[in-house]
Amino acid sequence: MSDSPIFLKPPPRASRPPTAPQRPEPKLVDIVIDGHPDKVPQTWTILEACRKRGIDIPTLCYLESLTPVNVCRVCVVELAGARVLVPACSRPVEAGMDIRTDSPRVRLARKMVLEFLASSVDLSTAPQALEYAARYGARPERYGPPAEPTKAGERDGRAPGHHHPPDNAAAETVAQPIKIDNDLYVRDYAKCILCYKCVQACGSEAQNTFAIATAGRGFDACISTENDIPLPESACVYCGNCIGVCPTGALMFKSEFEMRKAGDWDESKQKKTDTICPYCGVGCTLTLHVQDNRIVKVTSPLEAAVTHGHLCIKGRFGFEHVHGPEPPGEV
Amino acid sequence: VGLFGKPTVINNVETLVNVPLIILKGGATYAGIGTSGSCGPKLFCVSGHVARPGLYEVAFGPTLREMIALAGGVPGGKSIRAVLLGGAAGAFVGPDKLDMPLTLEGMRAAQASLGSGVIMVFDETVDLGEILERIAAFFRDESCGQCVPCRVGTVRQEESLRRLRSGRPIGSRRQELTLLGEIGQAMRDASICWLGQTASNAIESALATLDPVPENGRQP
Repeated sequence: MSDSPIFLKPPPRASRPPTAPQRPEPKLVDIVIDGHPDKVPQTWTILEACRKRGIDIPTLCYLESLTPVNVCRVCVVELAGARVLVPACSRPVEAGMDIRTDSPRVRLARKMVLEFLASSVDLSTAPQALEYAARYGARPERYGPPAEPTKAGERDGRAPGHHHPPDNAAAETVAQPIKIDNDLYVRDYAKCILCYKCVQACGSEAQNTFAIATAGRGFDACISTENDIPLPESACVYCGNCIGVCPTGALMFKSEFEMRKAGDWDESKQKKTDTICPYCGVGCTLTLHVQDNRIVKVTSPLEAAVTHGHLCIKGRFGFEHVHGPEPPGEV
Repeated sequence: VGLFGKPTVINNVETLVNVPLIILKGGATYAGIGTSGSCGPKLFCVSGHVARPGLYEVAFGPTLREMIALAGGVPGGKSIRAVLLGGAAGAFVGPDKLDMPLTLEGMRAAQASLGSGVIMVFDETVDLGEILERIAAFFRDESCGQCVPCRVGTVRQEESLRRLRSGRPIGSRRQELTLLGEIGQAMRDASICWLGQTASNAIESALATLDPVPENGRQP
């Protein structure tokens, strides 16, 4: 025994690596999916049980790294004997469930949800939603021509519980001017389907910043900063996690937005390279989207173990210095 | 979960007020009030075109006709066009249903529901289509906006109804009515809560039996 103080002596090496405590295996329950019996763990949702069978249930507001909120209602399935359809993404399985994933009621509900969205929201940068709409035969033209877009701030300023009666000719939409109030990303709420993923990512599910939340009520509900203040004045820390989870492109890198506007955005010319962020010791995986030898966008893979797709401002937006100084004469 | 982290029961005042009655009178006596399928007293809110609108307490059993008579009948000797049972989320019945017993089992047999106990009487002077528009506007205002079927469905329902009423359906009248039916079914099947699930009840019940938006524009 040396006489050096205890805090200078290294601790003994662990005899085995630390592991989580042993948990009992979840019980298996018997369910029936589309006529086929199956046994799945009690803790699974209907969506997980269906995916295990290879059944493709459409989802819009569901993401594996976020708590399901079951608001889009496109994943609804029919349970034999139930009064209403149930959301597969959040409903846990129970013994004896008889699940129908493709009944007439299910197909009508999905078609109508997609029609409602396609007739009121700009889905042009939401290829998954458009594919579902085609799959279920959604015909948004059934509701008439879209109404004139609202002016900036008009939807944000509406009082809940009052609305002007429709003018009998047009279908109301959420179309409105794009919010461009900072240099890093733009918010185009004409494309927002209120899937709530951005609020979750900004809030308790990832960033714990709570800069944005749902404001207003009913069809006038929208995602907003407090009192609709510009983003630089809000609590936003520009981690870009909201952009990472947005399924429709309502939240978009300013670089991508500018290139799309100029007609230069071309995903077929882009190369995606995974690397580790250089800024700190966490070691998030960055997927750099490179077009014409310039980084145009940064994402992070959902499967990456460290942060499951979430980044911070440094990893998300701190790449301009890679391109070197601009040649003299260019802005 | 629950209030203050304790198990919690949420009930109507009307339900809770029955509890001391059961305790004081005893279960058997209480069960003797009303009918075999619906026991105890019931509060009915009778309103609309009746001489004495108000809250009426009866033992379960009176028919719709008897409740309207209790409230003084329709003033001016006018005939009944429709009765809304259960409020905005309820269903319309026509004057041919006045002898239906307002009991739980009677309503179930008629595929209707007592709902909140509202009995709203509309006489022959009413434009039923306008009432439906007000109900559609109500549901659009009250939708919380969380789920797609109700947030957008209530808007599309109001738009469709107004197009029908103004005589400018998209495509044919039949296509517009089919659209209304599909909107109603999507809200009923896929909404998160009862608001969306009942948003089309009143409208669909009226369209099914009462011709509220006649093709020629005149009320029957």
